Amino acid sequence: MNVRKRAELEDIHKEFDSVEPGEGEQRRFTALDGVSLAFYPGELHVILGENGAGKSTLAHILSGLHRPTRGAIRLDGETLRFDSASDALRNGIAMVHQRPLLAAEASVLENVLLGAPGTFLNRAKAAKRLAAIKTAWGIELSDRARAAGLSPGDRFRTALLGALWRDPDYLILDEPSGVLAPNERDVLFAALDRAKSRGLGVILITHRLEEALAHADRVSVLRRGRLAFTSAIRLGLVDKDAGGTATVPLTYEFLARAIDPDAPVSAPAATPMRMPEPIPAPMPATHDGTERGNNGSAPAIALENISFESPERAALHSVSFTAYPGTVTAIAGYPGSGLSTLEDILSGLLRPDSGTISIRGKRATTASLTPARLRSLGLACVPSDRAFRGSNPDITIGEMLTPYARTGFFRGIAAPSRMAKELLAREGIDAAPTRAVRTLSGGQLQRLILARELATDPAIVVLASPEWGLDVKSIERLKTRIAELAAEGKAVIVLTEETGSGGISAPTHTLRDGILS
Amino acid sequence: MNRFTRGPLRASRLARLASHAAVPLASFGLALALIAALIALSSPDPLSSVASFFTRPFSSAWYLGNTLDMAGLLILAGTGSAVALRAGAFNLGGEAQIYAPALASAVILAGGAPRAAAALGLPPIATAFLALAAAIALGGALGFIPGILRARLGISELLSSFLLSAALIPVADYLVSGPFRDTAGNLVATKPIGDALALRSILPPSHLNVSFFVALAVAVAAWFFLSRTEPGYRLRMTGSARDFARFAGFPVARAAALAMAVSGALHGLAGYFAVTGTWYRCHEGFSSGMGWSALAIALVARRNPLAVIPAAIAFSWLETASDAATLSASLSFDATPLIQAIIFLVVSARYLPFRRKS
Repeated sequence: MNVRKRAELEDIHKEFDSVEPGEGEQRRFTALDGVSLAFYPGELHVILGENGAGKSTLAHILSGLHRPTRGAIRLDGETLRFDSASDALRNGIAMVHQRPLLAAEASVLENVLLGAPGTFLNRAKAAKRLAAIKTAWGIELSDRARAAGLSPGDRFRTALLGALWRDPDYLILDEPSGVLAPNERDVLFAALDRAKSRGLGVILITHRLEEALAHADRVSVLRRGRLAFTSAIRLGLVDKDAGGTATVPLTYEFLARAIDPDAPVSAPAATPMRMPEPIPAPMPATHDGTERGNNGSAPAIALENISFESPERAALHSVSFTAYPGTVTAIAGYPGSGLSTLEDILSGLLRPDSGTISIRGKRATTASLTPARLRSLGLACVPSDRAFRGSNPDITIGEMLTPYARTGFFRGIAAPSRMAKELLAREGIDAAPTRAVRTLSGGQLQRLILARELATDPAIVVLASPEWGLDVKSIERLKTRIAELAAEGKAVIVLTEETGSGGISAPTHTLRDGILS
Repeated sequence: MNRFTRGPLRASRLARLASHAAVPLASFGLALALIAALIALSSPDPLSSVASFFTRPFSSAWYLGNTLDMAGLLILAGTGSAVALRAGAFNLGGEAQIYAPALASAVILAGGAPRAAAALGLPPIATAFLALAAAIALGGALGFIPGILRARLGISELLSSFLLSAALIPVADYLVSGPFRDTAGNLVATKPIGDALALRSILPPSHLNVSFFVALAVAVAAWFFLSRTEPGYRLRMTGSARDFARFAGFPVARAAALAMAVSGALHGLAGYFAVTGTWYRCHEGFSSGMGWSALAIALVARRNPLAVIPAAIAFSWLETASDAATLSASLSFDATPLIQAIIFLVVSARYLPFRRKS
C-alpha cells in the first residue's frame, strides 16, 4: 500500500458552455469560482451546499470526470492532471455516485472488476478478496446477482465495492443517504469510521446538515461556486491547519446559515435558527377508506386491494387507501418496501395484478390503467426519477415542459415556446426554453415538473420521493407549495422514504414489505 | 415570434450551424484525403487519376445528371433511415427494402399490368400508381415487421430488420435471374418497362429526372414533420427520451414501429424511382450497398432530414468520382466498395465510445 497523501485543490475554476442543439443563445455558467480546499488522510470531510452550489462539480473535478477550467489538483504537493476517472483512480481517488451506472447484464462481481487493472481474471481469488471487503464494510450482497435487478441501495453498494476494490486513498461519496434506509446509513458510517482509522480519507457530499454534525471531522460549505466556509474543527477536534488552536464549534444553525445563498457571507452563528420542522398537513388525512373527508367531500382517489407480484419488483399486497380533496396523504416506506412499485402503479406505468383505482367516482379497472388514462382522469404525478422519467437531460427545457400541449397536428414553435416561457416565468427560473434540461439543478427541475403537471389542472397530485436531491431551502419551499396545493382543494399524495417526522410531510401511512398500515 | 426579433440571433445561429457541421465536414474531408491518397498510390499515373477524381463528376451532363439522380435515391432512403433513427430504431434492412419494391414495380410495369389497364381503358398512369403503391406498401411492410416484432415481443429491430433483408435478397435474386428474367437480352434483369411509364430525363443523356425533386420535397416534409408537428415531437421524444415519453403517455412502442414502417416505405419509394427513372428495369443485386449508404448518410447528417440532402449529394459525388477515377486511370482494383468502407470508417468513428463529458 502506498503512503497516504494529502490532496489539495487550488483555486479551482470551472465554467460550462451551454451550447445546445437547436436554438438559443450561448451562455457560460460558472459552476466553481476559485475554490481551494485540502483533504487529509484519515478524515471525513463533508462538503455541504445547496443545489447548484458546485458540490458535485467539485467532486467530479477531483475524481477526473471534469477538467477544471483553471486551477490545480495536487497530491502531496505534486500537481496532477486527471483526464478521466481512470486517471484519478490510478492516483488513489475513487468516487461513488448516488445512482451509479452499472453494466445491467453483468453480475455484481463483474461490475466490481470492470476497469480494474490486470490481464487475467481469477474469479475464485477475486471473490475471496471481495468477500473480505464486504465483511470489513458490513455489506451483504451476492456476487452473482445481476446488476439490472438490484435495488438503488444495492446499486450504490456495488459501486462502493468497485471503488474499494481499487484500494483508494480517498473515497468520494455523493449523497449516499439518499438511497439508503436509516439503519443502512448507520452501517455505512460505522464502516467509514473504521476505514478512517486505517487512514482512508473520505469526502462526503451531502445536503444533510445532521450528517455533517454527526460524522464530519471537517466541514466545507460551498455557496454559488465559492467556498463560504471551511472548518477547522468539530466538537473539540483540533484543526491541523490552524496550528492547534480551536475555533468555533459547529452548530446546526451555523451550517444552515452558511449554506443559504441569500444570507450574508461569514457571519458565524449570529442569529440562531430553529431546526426546520415539517409543516403539519393542513387537514388531517384520513386513514380509513370508508370514512368521508372531514368536510364531507367525496374521495378524490381510492385504491382498493391493489396487489402486484413480480420477481423483478417489490410486491404489493392488497394495498388500499383513500385520499380526499384538500388533504395531504403521506405514505412512507424504506427502499424495497414496495414504494416504487406503488409509484409506478399510480403513474400508470405498471398494471397491478388485481384491485381497482377509483378517481373522482370513476372506477378504473386495472387493465385500463395507462399514464394517459390516469392523467385524463385528473391524476398528476411528479416521479421520483425526475432526471430520466420526469424529463431527460438531453432534451430541451421547452420539450420537457410541453408534453401535454394540445396543439393539434401542427405543433409549430410559437405555441410550445410560449407555454414553456409561462411556466418558467411562473417558477421564476431565468432560462431559455431552448436550453438543455441538463443545465437545470435538481430543485429547479422538480419545480418545473410540478408546474408542468399542475398545468393539466389535476385533482390529485402524487409526489414521489420529493425530498431526493433537495437542500434545506428547497425542501422548505416544497413544503409551503404542498400546503398551498392542499388549500386549493387538491388531494396531495406524498410517497417518501423518510419514515421519521424529518421529511416533507409527517407520514399518515407506512408501507412495509408491501403491506400498508 | 416576429421576424424582426430574430435578426440579432442570426450570427449566433450561423456559429451554431458551423459547430454542428464541423464534424461531418471534417470526416468528409478526411475521407476525401484518404481516397485521393489511395488512388494516387495505386494508379500508374497518380496526378491525372486524382485530377479526374475531382473534375470528372462535373465534366459532363452525363456525370452531373447521374450524380444528382443517384443522390435523389439516396436522399429518399437516407431520410427513411433518419426517421427511424429519430424514433430510436435502427433500420438495417434498407437493402431489401429498396430491392424488393423495385422488383415488384418492375414486374408490374413490364408485365401484364399495362396491357390489362389498356384493355380496361385506363391510362398508363393508373399502372404507374399501382406500381408506386405496391412499392411503398412492400417497403413499408418490410420495415413494419421488425418494428412490430420489437413493440410486441421485444425482439431487437437491429437483428430482425437485417436478417429479414438478408433472407429476402437471395429470393429476389432468384426471381430476377429466374422467373422474371428478360430472356431477350444478356442482362440478368427483368424486362424493360415501357417508354410511357419511364420518367423522362430532364438533363439528357443522363438519367436525372423528376424523382430528384420529389426526394428534396420528401426530405423537407420529413424535417417539417419531425420538428413542427405533434406526432413528430412524440416520435423524437420516443427516440431521445424513452422513459419520459412513456411517462407522458405517448404510445412509445407504436411510434417506433410506425417510424420503422415509414422508413421502409421511403426505401421502397427509392426502389420505385430506381426502376422508373434510372434503370428502367430491375437488375440482379442493383441495390447492393444503397441501403448501407443511406444509413451512413443519415448518421453523417445527425439524423436531420435537411442535412441528409447535402450528405447524400456529397456521397453520390464521391461514388461518381471514384468510378470516374477507376475508368480513366485503369486502377487495378474496384474503388467503389473501398471508398464506401472508408466513408463508413470515418463516419462511425464519431459513434464509437470516445465521447467524453465536457
